[in-house]
Amino acid sequence: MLSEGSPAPKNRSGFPERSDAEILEQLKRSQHAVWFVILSLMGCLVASGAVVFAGYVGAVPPVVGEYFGAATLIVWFLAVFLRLSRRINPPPEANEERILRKRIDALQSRWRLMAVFFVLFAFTTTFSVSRALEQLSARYPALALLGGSIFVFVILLYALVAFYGPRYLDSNHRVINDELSHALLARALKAGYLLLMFMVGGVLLAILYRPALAVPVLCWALFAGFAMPTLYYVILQWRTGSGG
Amino acid sequence: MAERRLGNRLKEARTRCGLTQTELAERIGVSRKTINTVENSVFVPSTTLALMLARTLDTTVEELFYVIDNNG
Repeated sequence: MLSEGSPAPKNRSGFPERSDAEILEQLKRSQHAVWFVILSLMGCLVASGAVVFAGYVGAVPPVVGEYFGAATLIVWFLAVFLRLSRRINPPPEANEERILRKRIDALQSRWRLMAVFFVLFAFTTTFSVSRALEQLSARYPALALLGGSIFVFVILLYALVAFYGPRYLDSNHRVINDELSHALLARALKAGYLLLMFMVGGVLLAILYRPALAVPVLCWALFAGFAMPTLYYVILQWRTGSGG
Repeated sequence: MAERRLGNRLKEARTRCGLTQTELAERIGVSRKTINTVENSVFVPSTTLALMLARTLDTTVEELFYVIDNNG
């Protein structure tokens, strides 16, 4: 039993014991603070840009425009670091398994959004790289080999995203790959494997038909090998259990 | 040949305990979608999850789950 004035019990991390509700509340405040910082930065950048632009077009003296443009960003920086820097930090218990388990739905939802962005990034990468490699391979084979190696490395990183699913966020987050996630991921990867085999067959036929198509077709096959199972998994996650 | 499906009384047991899907999911440590898909017989839970559901809802696995034989 605790005597009066004795220190509060501490957890394994050396912090005072708190209830899960308090930890989740602090986490929510920290996430709100992060959003506030991001949105206020965007607002300040727009305001700062507007003031500098006003100076540039002569609406205000250029020196005044530059001064206020810089001052806006400095004020934002000071406000954030003096007022919000402590609030931004998530609670130290945020990555403990029991807390992560309570946040499964939010973390999975965040991962779905990330997965869609990963697919968009992969699309833009493939779009630019496939064209560049096609031109480089004819004139500068060594440079094309280097570019191709980087592209393959990036695509393999994307494939890891698809393979690990939500737990790709962080190895500590493996608890968010619950049974349903595992089952849906297995289904998506099974479909992805079949699709990949069809695509490799299609690529062979395309190259035989027109050898010049080899580079772009292979690039897009690699992209599809990542994008299709990832999007399929995201759709499966969205569709399942949406009822209450 | 008979096609077998897994039926369940999860919703009844959950409402008897006065829990929502989210509350039950939080207690077990799975997503709300998992509870929802098990209730709707879309997803067949593992033995571990079935045992945890039964323990949390203060019942037995046999009470919660049963096999439906569809003679086709």
